[in-house]
Amino acid sequence: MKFNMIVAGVGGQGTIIASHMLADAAIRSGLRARVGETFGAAMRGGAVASHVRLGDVVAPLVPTASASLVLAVEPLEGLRVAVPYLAPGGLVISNTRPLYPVDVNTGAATYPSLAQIQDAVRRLEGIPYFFDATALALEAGDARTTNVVMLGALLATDLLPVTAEVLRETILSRVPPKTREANARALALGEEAMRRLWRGSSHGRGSR
Amino acid sequence: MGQLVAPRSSTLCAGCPHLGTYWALKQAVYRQPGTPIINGDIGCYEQGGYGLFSRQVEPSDAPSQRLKVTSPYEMLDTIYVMGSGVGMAQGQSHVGHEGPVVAVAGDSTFFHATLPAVVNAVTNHARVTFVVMDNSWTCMTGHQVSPTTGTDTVGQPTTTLDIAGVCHALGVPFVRVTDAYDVKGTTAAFKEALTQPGVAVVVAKRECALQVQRRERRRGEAKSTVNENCNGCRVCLQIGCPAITWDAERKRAGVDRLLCVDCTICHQICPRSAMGIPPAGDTSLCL
Repeated sequence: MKFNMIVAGVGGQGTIIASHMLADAAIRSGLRARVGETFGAAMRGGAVASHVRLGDVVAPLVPTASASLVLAVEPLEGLRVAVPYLAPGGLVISNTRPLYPVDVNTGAATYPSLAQIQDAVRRLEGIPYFFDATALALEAGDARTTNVVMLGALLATDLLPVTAEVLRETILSRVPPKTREANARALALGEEAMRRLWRGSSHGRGSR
Repeated sequence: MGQLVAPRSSTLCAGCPHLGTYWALKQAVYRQPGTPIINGDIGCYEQGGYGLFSRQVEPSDAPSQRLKVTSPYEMLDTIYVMGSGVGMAQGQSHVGHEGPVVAVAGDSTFFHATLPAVVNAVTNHARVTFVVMDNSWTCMTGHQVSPTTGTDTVGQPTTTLDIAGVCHALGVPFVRVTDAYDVKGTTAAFKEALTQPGVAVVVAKRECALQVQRRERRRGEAKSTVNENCNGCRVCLQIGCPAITWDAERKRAGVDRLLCVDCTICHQICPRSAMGIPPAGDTSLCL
């Protein structure tokens, strides 16, 4: 069994922490895990992608066109990663709230619309699932739990070879104790939001 | 499809004191005669030289010069080698470069690598403006402590070294300390430093915004907004702060209040006083 996915976002959104949580949850479930963080000079504010590979894997980077799932905390970053890495039939689960690059803010580039991004995912033979994860994170109590909202969304699919209990336990053991309540709520809100989308899709019909 | 994927250049963090310092330096250095050479080292301030992926020009022609004035992150001509800024700057000074010769380093770099270069510059009469961006931490590599932090590497309290004092002891004839969030004061210090005949140090001090946020455990949104005075001049966007956004439809600037830390740099720079913190409860000024 091999499961390839990539967590994408902007530096500072907690995508790398999220990828570590996924890997840790997989290891606690007896699976082999590899994480390939790509940030380089991205630092805060730059593009960050963290490859997560579970099962019979050795190398840390997902081969091109082989990611079953792109989990995007920021929509443009989801597309940036999906173009080279999304497998045909792969899912792009994405937040809708943009973080505008300085290139866009200074007028040197244009930010694609959400419709354009979703359309591009379809043209890549992928399936887009987009929802406002930042709003849910704010509802949970802190915008910084957006990454955990996205992890919650994963639980509503049948893709992750890790149970909800193990993922939840892993996440809560890795966040500062004072933030556990907000993170638990973020996880639940993300799962609920994705479940609504999943049930309405051809993926979801007939499953769970 | 590649065209849809807008480039995302790296930036300084929202509210980074270097945003204010680089802005002030830009205002001062391009008003001096001659073409400036600005030598950087390596640290968060190196971001001042990375430019934007989406704007590429040849380094020495007229559009490149214009870009340096109108674009953020176009301040540095050299970067990367620790301690090289002051070293190269004094060489440029000795060969008689006609124009401002500037070196930029952080507080950590200052102690780690520039001290011998400063000694050499002073004793051999170089004409260099040395900007020390003192944010109290070694940030780029993960917020390790610096001799200005006040704690040692295992978290115990320790002596805080004073960069201005060290410069005086090294014989630097002109030393000023400013608040990096004070745009006017820092610009004035640079203007004065750039006319000095010898080595001139300006220490622009203000703690790293990320460390302040972490320590104060800030929750919720910032208070800064853009009011109806905004006429879409886009000067604020040239600061390069990731929290300042542009609404292309309404042709107005905006503030991403989840990123903003209310540093007030843009409040000070906006020529129409359109950016600020509205009085409590007054939502009429919010865009």
